[in-house]
Amino acid sequence: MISYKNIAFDGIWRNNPALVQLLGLCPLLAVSSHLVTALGLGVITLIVLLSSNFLISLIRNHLHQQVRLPIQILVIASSVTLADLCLQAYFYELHQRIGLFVALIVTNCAILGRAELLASRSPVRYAVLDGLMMGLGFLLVLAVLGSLREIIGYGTLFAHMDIILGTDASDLTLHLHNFPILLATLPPGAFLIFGCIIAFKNYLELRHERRKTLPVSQQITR
Amino acid sequence: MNKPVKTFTTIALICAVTLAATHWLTENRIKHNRQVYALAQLAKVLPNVNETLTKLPSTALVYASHLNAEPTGFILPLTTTQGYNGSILGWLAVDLNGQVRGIRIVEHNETPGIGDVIETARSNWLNQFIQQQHGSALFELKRDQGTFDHVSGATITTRAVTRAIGKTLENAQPVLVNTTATGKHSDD
Repeated sequence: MISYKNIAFDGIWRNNPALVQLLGLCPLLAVSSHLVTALGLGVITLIVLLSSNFLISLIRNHLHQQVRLPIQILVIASSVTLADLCLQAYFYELHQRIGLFVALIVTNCAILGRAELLASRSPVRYAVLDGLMMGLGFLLVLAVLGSLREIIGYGTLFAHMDIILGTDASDLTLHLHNFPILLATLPPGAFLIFGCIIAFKNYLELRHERRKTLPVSQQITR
Repeated sequence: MNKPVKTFTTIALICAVTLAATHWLTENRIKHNRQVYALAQLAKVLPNVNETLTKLPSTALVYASHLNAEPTGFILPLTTTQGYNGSILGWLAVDLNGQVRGIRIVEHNETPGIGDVIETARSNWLNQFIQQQHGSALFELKRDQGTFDHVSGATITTRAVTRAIGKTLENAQPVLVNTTATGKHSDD
């Protein structure tokens, strides 16, 4: 059943686009070596998902079977190009770092997936909420992965925040330790840490399941 | 025309118009950003932040640097394809006599954490070239009977950059002598 609560829970936790559907991993792993680039791509993906869900839901009654997919791709590609142009105009330095992966958002199956599965057959309010929640789910995973990789791999957090927050933020960098582990900044490290995050999520869910099914007496002794 | 085709055409038109409008609105701003960014990257190679750059028509001396209208030197392009992975691009600032004032590598694909000792932010390896000039040193690594230290694990990268610096200085020498000579001539 479609309900606001279900959509929100699906997007952020139960059906998280990155952790459960494992979609959009190429940009996810490529830009998450610093928190700032991870946040940048996460926010752009969120905006694109939100606008494509909104637009596709708006025109859902005109989507004929034969041209449904081309129209969805067209809308998504246009949103991404718009976002890319705005990024170049207002956050050029961020664009220098993640520009390649912004263009690749078009190929992020999470976005076409949401358009096809939900937005093209639901009222606008559900589609917008779904876009927001799926985008937030993706953004959260990116932020956690970016923070972990930056802390482990560089020993810092919030480095280079000035490229999205303006020059006032240039001294936000926290130096946490002096033992950077190179592996975390390289692609294999990204896979390892991402795997650990998925494992941790599954552990939490399993524990929750077990607690629910155990008899009351055993719950107290545990 | 049947209905699906009409819908598709309409939506494609709307998308095209929106994109064209946005492109038209942001075009100048993006061009401006691109120039500012390129110059900012370039200016990092100069030791004095107040220096200004002027583009030169020459390909060997790409920019002339000035401090308070006094010429301070030139900026030379540094390129090599002998690195570990892809080409390495950078800028070399020299004074009027061809002595190195600063070096920056702006683009490379060397192994992160190993080959990136050529980035000024990560290591001061490049500093050993400051104040060197063509003929003042042998632009090879010490292990190749040259003047400069290599970095263990990044021999290929550091060798490529060392040779590129030597080559750039050597190629620029005749142009430099010429430009400085004619410059003096016009002053007389």
